[in-house]
Amino acid sequence: MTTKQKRYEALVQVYHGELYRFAYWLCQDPTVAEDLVQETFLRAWRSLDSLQDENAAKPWLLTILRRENARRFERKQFDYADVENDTLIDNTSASLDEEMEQTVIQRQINKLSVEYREPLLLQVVMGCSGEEIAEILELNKNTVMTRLYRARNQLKDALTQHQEPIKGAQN
Amino acid sequence: MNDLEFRRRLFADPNDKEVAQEAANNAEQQALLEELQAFDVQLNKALDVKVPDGLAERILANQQADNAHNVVVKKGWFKRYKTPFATAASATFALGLYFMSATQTPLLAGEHALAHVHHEQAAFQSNAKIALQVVNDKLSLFGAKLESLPGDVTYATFCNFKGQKSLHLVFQSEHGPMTVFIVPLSGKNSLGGDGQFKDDRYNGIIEQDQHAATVLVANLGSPVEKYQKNVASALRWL
Repeated sequence: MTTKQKRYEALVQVYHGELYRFAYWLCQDPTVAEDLVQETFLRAWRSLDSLQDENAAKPWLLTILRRENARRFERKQFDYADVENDTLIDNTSASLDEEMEQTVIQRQINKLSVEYREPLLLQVVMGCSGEEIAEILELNKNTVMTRLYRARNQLKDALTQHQEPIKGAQN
Repeated sequence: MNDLEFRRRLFADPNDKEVAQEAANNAEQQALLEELQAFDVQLNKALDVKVPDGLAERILANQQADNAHNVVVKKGWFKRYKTPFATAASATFALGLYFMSATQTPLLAGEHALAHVHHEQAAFQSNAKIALQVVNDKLSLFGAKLESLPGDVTYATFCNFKGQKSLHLVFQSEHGPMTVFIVPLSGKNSLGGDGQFKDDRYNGIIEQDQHAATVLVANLGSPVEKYQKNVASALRWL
């Protein structure tokens, strides 16, 4: 096996799960998410030589994935099955209460506008630092930190408001 | 750090070390810090969707297929076959049948297929075998699967066929590489009819049913109808 091939396989093993989760929450569709991840890694393979520093792999892959996602809107859309987001989520080994709570949180995350959702996903799902998020989103770091603050603030607000109806619906 | 700044920084990043140091001397801030950290644990759990089984393997298979295109083919296609199929007689028979039954003349879709094959010569560059499972992973997006193919698949990729997402396959037959387009049809749309078509290099055939059009293109003079039937009979719709 060539060094390039080994390098690539390591990238796939390390990042495919995180990238899939990020893509899933970004586009809110499991089929599109998988296509995005496939396409991202294919492009990564084709231009692997341009990745000089292994430590920069994560932001590099994320940049490719975001570009692919943007491209999706430029070209004609294929008919993907239009399924309610709420029904798709597979929470393994969670109790009913936890499951309810997670569903509520998931719904609120989906309601966040993309400018708040994306930095939050990069931070929580991908474990990116503020600097990395700024680089990926091409924003300055202060803007990123403000959006992260607002994202959590909105989520907490929404979830506090939702606590009453959830309990009512639990029977 | 005043209270407002503390709150802003905490909400922006509950794992900020400076924020944690700040909170150490203030019970109220410490409580808020713990609340936000617990909230992030919840968020993390909620975002932790299951990654599809075999995703890494599919990514690598995809890359292998892509990689294979860039490998220069050193052997002629005729040398790649170790197991020719006993088909000559039935091919002649099928061709005879075709000439008895065919009434259609070439079609626009046929011209598109020829143009597509001429254009995408890269599809013939590979001689690396692609597992049927990989082909079926792609076909599953259309709700179909192939039981078998009359030769090793060396190319499998999604393509746009007259505006329709289709699967572009190349398999190696004893008549050289053959191209198959599987173009799902949804009810009304049709590619314009069945029949054979050819140019100075290739000939091909289109067959449609309620699910899809199956287009087969092969080197001029190949018994395309026989192969087309072979492919069509192996194609299952779920």
